[in-house]
Amino acid sequence: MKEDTLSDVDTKSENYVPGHTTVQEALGYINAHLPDLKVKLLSSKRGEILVEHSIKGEVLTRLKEEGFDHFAALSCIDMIDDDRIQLVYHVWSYGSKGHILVKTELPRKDPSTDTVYRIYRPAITYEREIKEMFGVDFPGNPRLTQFILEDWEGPPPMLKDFDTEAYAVEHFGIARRDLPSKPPQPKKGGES
Amino acid sequence: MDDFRSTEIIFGPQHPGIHGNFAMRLELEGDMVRRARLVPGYLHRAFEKLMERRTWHQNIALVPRICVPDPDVNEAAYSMAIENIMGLEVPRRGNYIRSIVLELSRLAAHLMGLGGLGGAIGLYTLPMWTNGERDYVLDLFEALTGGRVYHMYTWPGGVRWDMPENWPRKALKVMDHIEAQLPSYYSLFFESKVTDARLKGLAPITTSWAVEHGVTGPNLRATGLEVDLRRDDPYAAYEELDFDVITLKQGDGMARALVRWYEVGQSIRIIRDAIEKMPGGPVIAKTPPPLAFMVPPGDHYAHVESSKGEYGYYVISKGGKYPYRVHVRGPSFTHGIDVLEKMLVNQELADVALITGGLDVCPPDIDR
Amino acid sequence: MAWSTTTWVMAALAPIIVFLAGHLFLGIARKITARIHRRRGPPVMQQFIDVFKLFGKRTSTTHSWVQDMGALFAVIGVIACSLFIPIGGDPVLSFQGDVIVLVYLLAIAPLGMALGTGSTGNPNSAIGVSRGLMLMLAYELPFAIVIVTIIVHFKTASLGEIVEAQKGFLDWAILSLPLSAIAADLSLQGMLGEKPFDQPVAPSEVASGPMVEFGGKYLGMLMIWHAMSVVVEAGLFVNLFLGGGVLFGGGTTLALIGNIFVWLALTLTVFIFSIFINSVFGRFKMGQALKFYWGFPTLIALIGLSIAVLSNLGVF
Repeated sequence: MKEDTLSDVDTKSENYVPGHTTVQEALGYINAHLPDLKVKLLSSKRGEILVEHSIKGEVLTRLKEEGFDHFAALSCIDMIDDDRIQLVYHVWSYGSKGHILVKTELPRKDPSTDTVYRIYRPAITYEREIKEMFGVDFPGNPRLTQFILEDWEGPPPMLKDFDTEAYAVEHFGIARRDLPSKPPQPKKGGES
Repeated sequence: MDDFRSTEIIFGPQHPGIHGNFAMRLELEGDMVRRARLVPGYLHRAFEKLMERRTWHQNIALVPRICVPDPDVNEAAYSMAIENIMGLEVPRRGNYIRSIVLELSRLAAHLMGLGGLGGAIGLYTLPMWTNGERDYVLDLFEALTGGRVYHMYTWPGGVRWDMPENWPRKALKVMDHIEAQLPSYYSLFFESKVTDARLKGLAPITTSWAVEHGVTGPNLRATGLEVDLRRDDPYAAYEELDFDVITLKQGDGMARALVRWYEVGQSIRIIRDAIEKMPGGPVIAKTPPPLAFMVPPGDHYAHVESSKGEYGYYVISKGGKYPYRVHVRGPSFTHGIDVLEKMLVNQELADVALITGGLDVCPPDIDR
Repeated sequence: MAWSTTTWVMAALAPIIVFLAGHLFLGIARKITARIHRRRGPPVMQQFIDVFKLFGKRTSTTHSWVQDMGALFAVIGVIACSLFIPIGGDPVLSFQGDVIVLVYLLAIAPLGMALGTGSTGNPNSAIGVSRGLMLMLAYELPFAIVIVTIIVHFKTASLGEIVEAQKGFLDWAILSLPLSAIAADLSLQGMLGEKPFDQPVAPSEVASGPMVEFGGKYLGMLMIWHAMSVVVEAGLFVNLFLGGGVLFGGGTTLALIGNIFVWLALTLTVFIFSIFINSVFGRFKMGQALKFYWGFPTLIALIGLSIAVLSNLGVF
């Protein structure tokens, strides 16, 4: 893989112009193009779009065209009661200073959805973390390598049904009830 | 790549030049970095998981631990998200005190960050001096909140208690002192030929590149885009306070350092202004006692402008005593991995610490 | 040539004086740096304490006998240098051309360190050593020109005679060759490894470079080498430009002891001056350091040389 570097940055054609579409206009625009979406205006600066995960890329592309160029975060929530995993894409417009949350849901079993890193570059790292912590696969993301969990064999730890105590007992052989009430005192005399 | 041409250096976590608890695997050809891979995870404490099992208020003691140099933004963003879900209105005086605390925290973080830059080029006098000033700020925090580094002072609904009576006078005195010291630091660091040689033209980025890669905060302002969440999405009392958004054009290491430098002055200005305009009244809204504190179902993404960039908390409540999920968006999550991996390529080994320090990467944001 | 009793005593004493003075100077430097940093700083004796502590430690990691040799090389090289430096106007070893021998000897110790670190296999130390050798190339150029200038000016290549020629205060070379003195002092900054020229041991770049694999007794050896080389290098400047500290004439033992103290005081002054520069500057990159040394210091050293040659020819 070729390393992309700063020298690829075109310093000549530098003229960043933030887009000025407001949240309301953007939501209206999205609704006009994709009428069966659930769109909600939360406040003058905040909007919410619920999409099927297969078309979220299209929605995000349109939002970016409308000036929502800052990808603030990608949150993942394990909705265990609904047997769903929710992904929330937070985008922000520097021009109109509006925030739109694009929410999409995946089945809890073998969750997988396309990467959006080609639309929003910062997603590459968020997806990498979510893959590790929630087990959501993002086909197309080139950096889904080991991130934080080193030598991890258990299930994704941020899922709601991950039993931390059972994992500790299994891997370290000690449960909370077995812990001495007082910390063990160091033995006197001589270091080992 | 030819095996005999490149050397691999593992830069950190035990390396004097690393900016916190993470590591870089650098592939060098001679003195040039050809490939950089960031290895975080040395400080992962699973805060997000822990927070799902603690009450709303217990988490206040947990969140500041995420970012050591600038802890108050965590409490503020977390509290703001809760307030928004609950529909709580923070009293004006509470908002003003929050602004002061946030600015003091920014001041301390910037002083520490500038000191880090001095350390990266070997000018150890600067970190000693700036961290000495930071200590006076920590003294102020101690007098106000009881804690020096972590304060647990901002609370859903306002701040935990009012300022002591003589505290504003003390704060103004410290501000006067720091302001009087600033010119000597400027001449020590920014007017030096060596700093010029090291920082000017170092890893320049453009605004579109920065926006594309999710660069926020002072690093984005150093490229010339006038963005500041304090102004764009006002929180606490910033709407009523007087300050300038500092922007510079060049987008290089010098601009990144200078933006931080000028923001120190702006923080002092905001603190003075807030103390002057300080309204009376209560500092905290009427809320249920901590043990009976319930948050109705809902979700909110609250973000604040930290000393390093955008700090966001996405809080999801399903009702009840515990948060359902809290997602923390730290500025270094983008700066510290993807952006840094790109910026380090084709730079000299000597500049690695300087670029990392210039971006003000705080690895605990990644390992939260 | 038979040695006099004084020479025998000095031969035994010179390394000891340099050893004691080096650690004392470094302790004073640490204190001064601390005061510039607005800190209290360690006690002046801290450097002695550190070295004795290091020698009391077990060495947990050794790599090969080459590393042992490298550390020894460094210390022996600097002890040999201390015999060539006239301390208080009385060199132990003095002959025509000893300045040139000394310049070569000064390079032995860093080469020893390079030998030792090369055997450790740590990439940081390898980079540190290569930087050290590059830096040596950089500062040796103006310094060599300065040495030639001095030889031309005093028409002798013996340090003893150079010191002899600067008996009176007005004969000091710093007054007759001010440009060369500036060039020499700039080279000295690199020779001492003080900022802005401490690239070989830059902590934030190469994790202290050559020292990174040295611990315990090895580090103690390197600290001794560093402390002694500080005195030798700053002392060389004193001998070349500041009259070698010869204040009391007469050749009595008492006068010699007095001169030794004057020499030490001058050496300390030169070293402290470089510490002042050290604490208000950052560090250049390697390329910038090379550019710097081959620019301004080389230029003024060359001008100084031409002035010395022309005045010898009787133009002035």
